[in-house]
Amino acid sequence: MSPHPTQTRPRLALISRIVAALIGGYALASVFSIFLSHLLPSELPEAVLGATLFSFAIYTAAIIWVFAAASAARAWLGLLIPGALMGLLSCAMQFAGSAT
Amino acid sequence: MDKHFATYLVFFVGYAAFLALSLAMDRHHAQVLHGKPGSGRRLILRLTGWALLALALWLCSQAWGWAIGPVAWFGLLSAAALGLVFLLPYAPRFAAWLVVLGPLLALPPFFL
Amino acid sequence: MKQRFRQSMSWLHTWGGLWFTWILFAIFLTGTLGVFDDPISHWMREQGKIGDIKPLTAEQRAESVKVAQHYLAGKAPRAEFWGIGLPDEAQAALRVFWREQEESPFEQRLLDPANGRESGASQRDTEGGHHFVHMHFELHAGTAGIWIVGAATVAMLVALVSGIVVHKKIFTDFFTFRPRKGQRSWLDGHNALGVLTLPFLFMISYTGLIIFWALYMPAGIMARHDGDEESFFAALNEGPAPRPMQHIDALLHELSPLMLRGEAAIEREASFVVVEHVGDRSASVRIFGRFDPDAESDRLVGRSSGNALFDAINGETIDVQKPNTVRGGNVLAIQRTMNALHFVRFGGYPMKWLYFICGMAGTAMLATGAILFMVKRRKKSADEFGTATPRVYRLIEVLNVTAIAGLSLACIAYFWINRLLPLDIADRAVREIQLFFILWLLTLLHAGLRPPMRAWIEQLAVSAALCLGLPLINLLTTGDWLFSALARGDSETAGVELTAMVFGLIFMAILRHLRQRQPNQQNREKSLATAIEGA
Repeated sequence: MSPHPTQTRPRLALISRIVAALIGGYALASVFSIFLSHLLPSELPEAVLGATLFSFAIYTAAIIWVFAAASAARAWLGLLIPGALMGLLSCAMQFAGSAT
Repeated sequence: MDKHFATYLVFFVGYAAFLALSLAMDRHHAQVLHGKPGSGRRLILRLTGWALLALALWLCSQAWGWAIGPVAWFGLLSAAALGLVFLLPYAPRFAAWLVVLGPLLALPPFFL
Repeated sequence: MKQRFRQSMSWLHTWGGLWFTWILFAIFLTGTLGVFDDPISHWMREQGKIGDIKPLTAEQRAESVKVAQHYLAGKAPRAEFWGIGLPDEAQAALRVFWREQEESPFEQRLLDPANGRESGASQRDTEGGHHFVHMHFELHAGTAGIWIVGAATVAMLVALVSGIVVHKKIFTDFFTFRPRKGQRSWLDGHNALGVLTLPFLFMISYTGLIIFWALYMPAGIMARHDGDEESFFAALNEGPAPRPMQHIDALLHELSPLMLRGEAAIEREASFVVVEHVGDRSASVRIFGRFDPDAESDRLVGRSSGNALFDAINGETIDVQKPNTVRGGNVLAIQRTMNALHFVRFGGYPMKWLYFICGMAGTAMLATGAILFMVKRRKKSADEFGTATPRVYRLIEVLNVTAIAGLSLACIAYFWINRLLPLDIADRAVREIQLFFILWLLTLLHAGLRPPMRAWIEQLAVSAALCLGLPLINLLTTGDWLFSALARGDSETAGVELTAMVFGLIFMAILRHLRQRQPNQQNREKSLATAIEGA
């Protein structure tokens, strides 16, 4: 397959991007669905449903991002940083919620 | 409004809208009427096209209500545009005449 | 920056699109055919000829349920699930289903509603149009198939977004199609088909994912609801609490009086009866009301046929949901709207035809995209795979033929199989589908053995012949034919045959186009050969 247009070390970086898109993007969308379910004003089951309805758009956007990023490393960072942030905030809200 | 009647009506309103919008473009104006459209004509065609698209949406809402109406609107516009786009290069004159012929053939049976 | 973004999106659109295009073509084609699954089943079961089946009276329905309960109690007295489908206009037989355990497959039998005897070969045993629906959402491969379809659907969304970015002149080229210009025409066609049906394509892809949201994206339920799906959905739907197995033996209540009570409670005829945990203290029975298309075609949300839930041991009422009432909050309403949008459960036939047209346009968009990939490279190899390039191109060409022409052939052949397969063969409905897959496999073999252009022409020619000959084979095998169907006002039977003939004509038009092109191509290949020899 022709290397991704912005690639210098084609094959490995390409595989890295594909993994980032398929698995990293899915993980990001999953974390997003948990995170958003904390923020939505609806009751718990509805909030989870609403957040999950959005998460497929996030997955799509994440895949686009991964292949648009200048390098595979940047693609991963662009997934990991928001993913970690949303994950931490979700944990914090979970604890805050169970404490009260 | 009867749904079958509305289907044909909105289809041809959408078709007319897209015909007007396409005639406002140099390429298609040349295809059907030859030459470029003047700026006055271009403006009129554009306004007519957008007005007909709005009319089509309103007709859909009358026939289907505001929940299903927009779905019907999108679907009928897609169908009308597909018809126009694949007719234009093969029979440009006929594609233009269809805007009159189509409704004349399809709509009167509903009033019988 | 903008230029680079467009370049990387172009790469993503080309390759992401290519590797998923074959499966997406199958999903789109069978899904579009599945819009008309009922008319197709009607044609396949020869229901037009049978004439109108009289609706059952309440006593007959109660008697049917009794007959079914007796049969099921003999077959599967401790099943996890029983289903009883009452006879209706479309199906004169009583249908019974059961499943021993949650993971085991469903068993299904057709019974005579009067005496409970298994119906033999008295009618054409077929999956009918449901075959296309199952192919569409699970590729006949269960949960694994659902996941594959889901992955392809995400790829579709990505291809749509990247396609819009790559398309340089969406508005200038909005109405543009330039035929007879080779690669240009394929690109124009691909663009026009995609752009003009874009709202439909986004809607149908996204809502397709939403149907299986809890399977595809379970993180929310796992993290926020301890992964307990049953209680999650009970809370979401504001329904009764789930009834887990108690592992205490208990005798099942008579079902027919419960059915009558259910009908009275929802004020509608029953169509289906479900019993869960047969033989256990936790057993419950749910009575579903009959779907009323006239009452429900005008709304997107809150369309339901109603159902009543009873304790299946002591007969106590657990829950009653009347038809066309809404439960749950706004978000659930949104999700249900999305489902209704995907299934076209509204608007009747005009809307189904719009979905069919837009779906076929989407199918054609996928086909033109796959063909465009090879048209570009037949002219000039892009040499993406080094020395393996010709072999990879050959593989792509073979898969293009198989996925596009081969599947079209198998789909129309499925109608012929339905008419030609003997009626008394065992597992007839399953055999039909097996033959469908065997034929599809044969088209792969054929595509692998023949030169590409010949493979396209031959498979399309067979498809065209099968489409145009459909009324004929129906006449020869059943004695029923198009004009008598039209004469008796059987628009479903006639509609299936007329639509097939339209597709036959479309295939003929494509064939004519390919035949016209072929001499040129042969000349070009010849001149290329002489040029090589000369060098």
